[in-house]
Amino acid sequence: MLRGLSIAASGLNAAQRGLDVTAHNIANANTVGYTRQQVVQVANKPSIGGVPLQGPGTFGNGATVQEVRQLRDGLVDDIRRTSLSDKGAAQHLATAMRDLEAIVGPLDSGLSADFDNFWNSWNEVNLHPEQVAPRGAVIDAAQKLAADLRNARAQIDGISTRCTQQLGADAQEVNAAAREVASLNQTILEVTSGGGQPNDLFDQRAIAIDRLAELTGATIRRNGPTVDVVVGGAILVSGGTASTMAVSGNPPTVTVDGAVAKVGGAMGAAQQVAGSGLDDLRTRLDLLAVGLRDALNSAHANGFDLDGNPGGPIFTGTGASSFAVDAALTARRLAASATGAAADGNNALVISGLRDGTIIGSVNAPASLTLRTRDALADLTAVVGVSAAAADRTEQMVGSALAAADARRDEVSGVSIDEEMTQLMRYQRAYEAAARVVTAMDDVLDTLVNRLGLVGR
Amino acid sequence: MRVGDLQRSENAIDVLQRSVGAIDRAQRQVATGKRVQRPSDAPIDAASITVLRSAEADIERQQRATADADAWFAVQDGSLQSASTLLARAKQLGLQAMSGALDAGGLAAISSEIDGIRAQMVSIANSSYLGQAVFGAFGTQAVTTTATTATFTGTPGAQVQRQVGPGQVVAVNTDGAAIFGFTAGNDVFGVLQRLSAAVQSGNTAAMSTENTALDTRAGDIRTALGDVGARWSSVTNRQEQLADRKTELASQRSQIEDVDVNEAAMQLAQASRTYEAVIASIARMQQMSLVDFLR
Repeated sequence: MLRGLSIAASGLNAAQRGLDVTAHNIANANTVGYTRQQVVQVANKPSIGGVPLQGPGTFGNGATVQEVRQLRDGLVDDIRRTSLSDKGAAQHLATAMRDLEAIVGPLDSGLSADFDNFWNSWNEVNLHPEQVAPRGAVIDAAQKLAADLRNARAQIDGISTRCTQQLGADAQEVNAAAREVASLNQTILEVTSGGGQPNDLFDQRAIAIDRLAELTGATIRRNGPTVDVVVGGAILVSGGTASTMAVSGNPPTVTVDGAVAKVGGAMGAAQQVAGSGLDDLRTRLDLLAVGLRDALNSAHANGFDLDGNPGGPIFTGTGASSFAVDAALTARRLAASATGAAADGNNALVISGLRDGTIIGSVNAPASLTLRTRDALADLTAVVGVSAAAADRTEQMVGSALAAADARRDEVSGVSIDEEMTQLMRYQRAYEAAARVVTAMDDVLDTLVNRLGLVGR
Repeated sequence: MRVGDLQRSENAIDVLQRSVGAIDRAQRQVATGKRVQRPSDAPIDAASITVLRSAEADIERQQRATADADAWFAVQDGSLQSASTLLARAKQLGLQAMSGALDAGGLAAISSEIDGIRAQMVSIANSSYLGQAVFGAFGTQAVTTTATTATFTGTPGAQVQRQVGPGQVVAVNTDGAAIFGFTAGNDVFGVLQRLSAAVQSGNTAAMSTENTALDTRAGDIRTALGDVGARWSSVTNRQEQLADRKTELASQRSQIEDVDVNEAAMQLAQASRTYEAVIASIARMQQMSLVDFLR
């Protein structure tokens, strides 16, 4: 008779645990990275005093909560981390490429327009070689052109520098996350070896690992209750110990405890951009600057200025970064004349005609890069445009992949309020029923104790 | 498939962002009228736009050069027409003087008219456009004269060049040394001066020599007039070509760069409708919960 009471008590207990877990799930419905939990309830083995009962007519022994299980799919988590790493890289690249688009400037007033203005200003000198105003316009156009070329080059270098700085900051964050993973590993090991089940610590560790994956493309190796984190072949976290990531040098290299690690994710993208990723654009700008300098200076040297002296250099500098108008160049010293006569503007015409000549690569450059300036600029526009558009598309694509992975994770691990409400009702009813069983047993006992044997009274 | 609440609201936010982004893009296109605003909008089109804009700038440059050439030729044509008329008149006067029907007074009158023609010829030879002598190349003056001599002070044989097309360079001046006879060693000013002197003195033989020389010089001027006319008409043709080409380039660029306004407005309307549907559905979805139906 008393066994019925203890069965009812086990039911009350199990329902109570069910309500607790449901409450915990509802409380964490909006917690990022939370994995929903579920009570795993089993029927007690039928026994009396530890001896299992056998044979027909064996009675059950109530229910017990075996474990509180996290609904997690390790494979989905791993796939999601790959997506996170891709997203980190794509996001970083897209930001850099969007910045890069600025180097060609607006389509109607950027570098290309600078060149057109420059060539056209020489044409004006051809029309009015003796007037000073058109000559001044040439100097202004040349200054603007040189400044914009330098600026374009500076923007590229600026993007590289920002990426290098970002790498350093990222490494700090990686180290903090790695230490967190290591310390959680330690705690988890302690709790689990004591028979506990630190579900919420698993979640915290997963969040830290997600961040590591996004930043570095880290992967994990499960090792009992603890996990090891691996970055590009180097072990970043092993059980309860974390290694230190460092960034050094230019182009930057990433090391883990001194050994070079090949990072992926956002840091991988940053490393690529800070390293050789933008060299093609640098080369293009440098060739443009050097080609322009050589072609113009040599054409200019063939002419004579207003005072009858041969033309000096127009542009100086060894590349786009040092490209500048020669300091000695003044309006009077523009060699517009082919003969030395002040009213002769024929050399200005030759220079203005260079717009149709193959300037880029006319000197010291491979034949494949021999281009007219306008084609070189169209190429540059296309190159930065294609890179930026591709980076945008990649970002969208990996964004969708990540959303899909999130959905898959959520399918297993996400909290649904409606579902929890149903669970709540279920456990509540179970509790009520178990309580009713206790009352029933009480009635039975009452009958037994107080109402039986009235005969002998 | 299970769907968690966190994910559901994140999906809703994602969809919301996408539809707002679509509205933003459509709205920007309508506002600016440009389909390609950044190279990444359409990289190859952006490259084409760059090339077309550059070609348009080049056309503008050529238009300025042809307009300038046109002015040079206009000045020369007018001057050479006058020169031709003046020389014809001088020839007529020379023949009149040779006829022997005139007395000393009549000859003196003719002589002084020929002197006047010479002075006008000097002024014609020094015709200038914006301070530059059209027959003197790089000089400000083509001819300087004294009572008896004339010297060419321009740059003989030099060309004032204008580029009116890719690789198409034209000389916009005419070599005064050639057309006024300095190169041939018998300049028109000397001829007129000697004719005037011969008429004054009644020297028929000398008059005859100078009349013949005058024919040669008048022939040179007519040839020059034809030459200027030919070059002028080629420049005028080029101007028309350039105007056509400019319109053509602008329309090409517009086709690539500009939005079809109707289409853009349609897209904007469509994006707005999508957005409305999205926010309506989110509002409905978020209102519903099992909690509302449980007692």
